[in-house]
Amino acid sequence: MRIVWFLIEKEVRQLRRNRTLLALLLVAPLIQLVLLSFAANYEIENLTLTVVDQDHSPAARRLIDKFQYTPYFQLTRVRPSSAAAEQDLLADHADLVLVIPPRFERDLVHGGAARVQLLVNGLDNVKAGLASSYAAGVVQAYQDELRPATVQAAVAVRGGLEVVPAYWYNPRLNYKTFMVPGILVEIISLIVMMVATLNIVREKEIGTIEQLNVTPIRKWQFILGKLLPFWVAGLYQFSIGLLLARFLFHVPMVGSVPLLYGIMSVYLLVPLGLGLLISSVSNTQQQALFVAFFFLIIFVLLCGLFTPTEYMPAWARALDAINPLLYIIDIGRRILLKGSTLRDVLRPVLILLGMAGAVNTLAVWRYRKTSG
Amino acid sequence: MNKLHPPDVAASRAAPAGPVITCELLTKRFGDFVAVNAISFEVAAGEIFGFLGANGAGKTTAMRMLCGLLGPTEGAATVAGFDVFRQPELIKQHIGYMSQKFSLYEDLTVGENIRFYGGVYGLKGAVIREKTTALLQRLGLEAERNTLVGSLPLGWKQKLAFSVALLHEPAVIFLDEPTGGVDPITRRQFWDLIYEAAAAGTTIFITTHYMDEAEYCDRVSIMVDGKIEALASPAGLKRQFGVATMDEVFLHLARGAKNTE
Amino acid sequence: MKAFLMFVRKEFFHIFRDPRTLLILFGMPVALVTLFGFALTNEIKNADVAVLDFDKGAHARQVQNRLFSSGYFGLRDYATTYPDVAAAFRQGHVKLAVVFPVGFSADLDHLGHAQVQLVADASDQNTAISLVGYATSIIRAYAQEQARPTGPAGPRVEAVARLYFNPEMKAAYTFVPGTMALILLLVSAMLTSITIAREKETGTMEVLLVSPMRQLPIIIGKILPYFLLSFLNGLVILGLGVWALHIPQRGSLGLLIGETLLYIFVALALGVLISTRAASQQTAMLISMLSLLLPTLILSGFLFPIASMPVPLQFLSNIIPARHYIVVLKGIMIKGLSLRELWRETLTLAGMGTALLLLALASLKNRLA
Repeated sequence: MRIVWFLIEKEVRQLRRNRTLLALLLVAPLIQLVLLSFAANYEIENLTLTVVDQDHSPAARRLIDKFQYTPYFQLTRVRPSSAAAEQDLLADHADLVLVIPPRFERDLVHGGAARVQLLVNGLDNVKAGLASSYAAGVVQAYQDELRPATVQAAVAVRGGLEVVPAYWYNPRLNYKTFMVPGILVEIISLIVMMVATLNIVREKEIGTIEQLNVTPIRKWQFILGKLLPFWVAGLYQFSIGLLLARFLFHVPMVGSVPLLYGIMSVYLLVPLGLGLLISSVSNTQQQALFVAFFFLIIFVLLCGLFTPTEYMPAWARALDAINPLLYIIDIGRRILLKGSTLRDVLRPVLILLGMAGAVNTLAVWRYRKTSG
Repeated sequence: MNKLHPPDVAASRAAPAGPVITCELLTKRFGDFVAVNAISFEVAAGEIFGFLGANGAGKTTAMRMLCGLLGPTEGAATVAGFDVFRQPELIKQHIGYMSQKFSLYEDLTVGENIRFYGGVYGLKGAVIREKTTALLQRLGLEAERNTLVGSLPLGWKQKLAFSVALLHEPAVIFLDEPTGGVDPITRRQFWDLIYEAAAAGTTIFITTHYMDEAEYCDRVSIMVDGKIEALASPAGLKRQFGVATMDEVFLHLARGAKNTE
Repeated sequence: MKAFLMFVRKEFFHIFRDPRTLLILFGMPVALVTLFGFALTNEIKNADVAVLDFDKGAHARQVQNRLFSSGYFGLRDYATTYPDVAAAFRQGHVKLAVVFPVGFSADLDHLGHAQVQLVADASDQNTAISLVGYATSIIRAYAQEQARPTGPAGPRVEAVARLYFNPEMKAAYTFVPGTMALILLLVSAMLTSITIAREKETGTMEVLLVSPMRQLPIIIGKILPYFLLSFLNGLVILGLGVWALHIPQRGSLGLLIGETLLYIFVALALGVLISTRAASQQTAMLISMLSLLLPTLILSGFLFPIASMPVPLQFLSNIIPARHYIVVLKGIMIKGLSLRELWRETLTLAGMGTALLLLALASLKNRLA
C-alpha cells in the first residue's frame, strides 16, 4: 500500500502543476452543470400560430380569439393566403397555421357545417402532436359553444369523460428535478473517464512508463495509484454538484444521500477503470481519445436522460445493458425522488459493482509491464 | 573530440566476483525477423560491460529482455540470480535502468522525482530523505532540489536519472545510450559517476555509440545482425583485429551487417 | 506550391499508415449514426402499464381494450391498491397506472360524466409526459365515440388537419439530422485539434513555423487532408441518413453538399483554434471533448427546443455551429428549401469558420512573436 501512496502523491503533484487540467477537472464541470441545466428543458411553452383569415367575419374573429386565449398558442403572424402562410412553416416561424376559408360564417349559419384547415408543422413530431391535439380541442370547444343548450346537454350525456393526470414524485413536472442529477453524473463521467483514458498512454508517449515498468511495482498497485486521485476528484465534483442541485436548483432529496454517495463511489470505478483499460491498450493518445469518445457518446445519448430507452429496438436495448450511466441515472432518480432504499435498487447496484470489478480487473490484466 | 581518460577511481575498484548476468543462446524473434540470435555471455559482478552494435543490431532488444521489459523467445538467461523467463518481477527489484528516452517526470521537482522512485522501490521515508540529501550533494544539485526537472539542462537531467536509478542499490544497472546528445565535459562527469558506482560493486551494463567510451569498459561485446560477433577487453579486441582504435574494430565488424538503419 | 503539395502528402501518409486510425475515422461515425438513428426515439411502443380497476364495469373494460390494442401500451400488472402502484413504480418496471374509480361505468352511463385517473411516475419525466399524452388521446377518442350516437344537431365545425413535411410524424426526422450534425462536428474538430497539438508536443510544429513557408499555407496544408477525409465522412453520413434511416432528400443535392463542406470547414477551424491554444495533446483533447459534446447536445436545438431556454442561453446557442447546420439539414432534406431561405444560416456558418480561422492564425503569430 505504501507504493500506492507514492503513486498517488506523484499524480496529485503533477495535477497541481497543470493549471489547465486542474481547471478542467474542478471548475469547468460545475460551470457546465449550471449552464446546461438551465437549457435542458423539454417543455414546449408556446406553440407559434399563424392565422389566415379569409372570411373576416365576427365568427372567424371569435375562433381566432379562442385560439389566442388558450395558454398553448401564441399568435405571431397573420397572413393573407395559405401560400403565404406556408412560408412561415418553411421558415419554422409557425408550428401551426389556422386557415379560415371565405364564407366560413355563412356556412355556419346556413349549412350548419363549416370547415377550417389546420396546417401542422410536422418537422418535430412532439410539437406536431401537441399542436394538432390542442387545436382539435380548441375547435371542439368553439363548436360546443355555438350549439344550443339542449344539444350541449345531449353531448354531455355520454361524452363527459374526464382524464385526470397525476404526476407522482415530481407533481409540478419541474424539468430541473429530472435533469440536474442526470447532467451532473454525465459531466462527471465524461471528465473522469477522459482524464483516466489519457493518463497511462500519455506516460507511454513521453516514455516514463518504461522506467516504471522496470521497477518492482505491481500491476494492481499501478492501476490503483492512477485510479484513486481521479476517484477523489469525481467525488468532489459530485459533492459540489449535489449542493448546487439542492440549493440552486431545489432538487428534492427524498431518499438517503449517504446511500447515493456510497453507490456513486462504486459507480465512479466503472468509467475510471474503463478509461484506464483503454489507456493501457492504446498506443497513442489520439487512439485512446477516439475509443473513449465512442463509448462516452453512446453512454451519454442512450442513458435514458434525453430519450426513453425502454422503447428502443431490442438490439439497441441489449447493447445498452452495458451502459453504466443508464444504471446510475436510474438509481439516482429513484433515491432522490422516490426515496428508494438499497433493497429497491439492489439489482442495478449489483450490476454496477460487477462492471466495476470487471473493467478494473481487465485494466490490471491488460496493463503490460513486459511485452512480447 | 578529446579522448577521455579513465578517472582515478578505476584503480580502487573491487575485484570481480561470480557472474551477475548469464546469457545462454538467448533469442528474440518478431515473426520471421530474428532480432536477437542465440547470444551467450556472462557479466561478472562489478564489471563494466560495454554492449555495442550499430542501430538495429539488436542491442536494445537484448537489453530489454534482460530487464524483464520484453519476453524472450528462447534460450536462457539470469540476472542477479533470477530467471528472465520466470522471474522478471524479481529481477526488477534488483536492477536499475536508464533508457534512451529521458525517464524522469519533467513536471515534478528534483526532490519529488527522487522521493517518488525511492518510494516505488519500497524505501522507507527516512532512508529516502537521507539518500536524497547525499545524492544532491554528490551531484552538486542541492540548490536545485525544488526546481522542476523539465527546466534543468540535459546533462544534469541525465546525471540525475542515473543517480535515481541507483537509489535502491541495485546489483546491476542497465544504461541504454545514456550519454546521447550531451557535451564532452558532461560525458566525462557522467563516466565519473559510472566508475564510482562500479567501485561500489554495482555491475554496469551499458550500450553506447561512442567508441571512446567503449575504451573505458572492462569488456566489450559487439553485436551485428542479432549475433555477438566479438567479445573481449578493448585491448584484446584491438589486438584480435590488428587495429589501433575501437572505431576501426567497430567499422570492421559493422561493414558486413544487413540490419542497419 | 511544390512544398505545399509535399506537405499535404506527408499528412495523408500519416493518416493512412495507421489502419487503426482509419478504422476509427470511418468506422466509428458510421456505427454511431446508425446506432443513434435507430435507437434515439421518443415514440412509445408497448409501454408496460398497471391497471387499478375499482369499477370493473363495461366502460372500464372497453377503455382498457382500447389502450391495450393501440400498440402503445401493454398490461403488466393488475394492482388492487394504490400502495401496489407505488411499489410497482419503486421497482421501476411500470411507469403509468390507469385508475378507474368506483362507479366509473355507472357514472358515465347515468350522469354523463366520469373521471379516469392516469398516475404517472414523473421521476422519469419525459416518459411520464409522453405516456399520459398518448393515453389521454386514446381515452378522449373513446369518449367522443360514445358521444356520437346522440347525433349533433346545430352548427358543426370540422377541422381538417394537414401535416406538413412529416406526415407520419416520425421521430427520426428530429433525431437523425441532429445526430449527423453532432458526429460530424465532433469527429472533425477532435481530429484536427489533436494533430496540430501533437506536432507542437513533438516540436515539429516549431520547425514548420520557422520554415520559409507562410503560416496560412501551413495551416491549410495541415487541414486539407482532414477536410477531404471529413468530407468523405460527411457524404457517408448523409448517405446513411437517406438510405438507411429514410430521411427524404427533397432539396438540391448540390446545396446540401456545399453546406456540408461549409460546416466541416467550421468544425476544422474550431479544431485548429483549440490546438493552437492548448499546450499539450492532453489539454487539446479534453477541451475539444468537454466543450463540444454536451453543449452541442443540449444547446443546439437537437434535443431541447431553443425557444424554451432562458433568453441568455438562447443567445448563447447561436455560437453552437451545429444549431445552424441542423436548421440547414432539415431545411434542405425535409423541407426542400433553397439557398434563398437558408442564406442566414449559411452566412452565419461562413462567418464562424472565417472568424475561427483568423483567431487560430492570430494565436499562432503570438506564439512566434
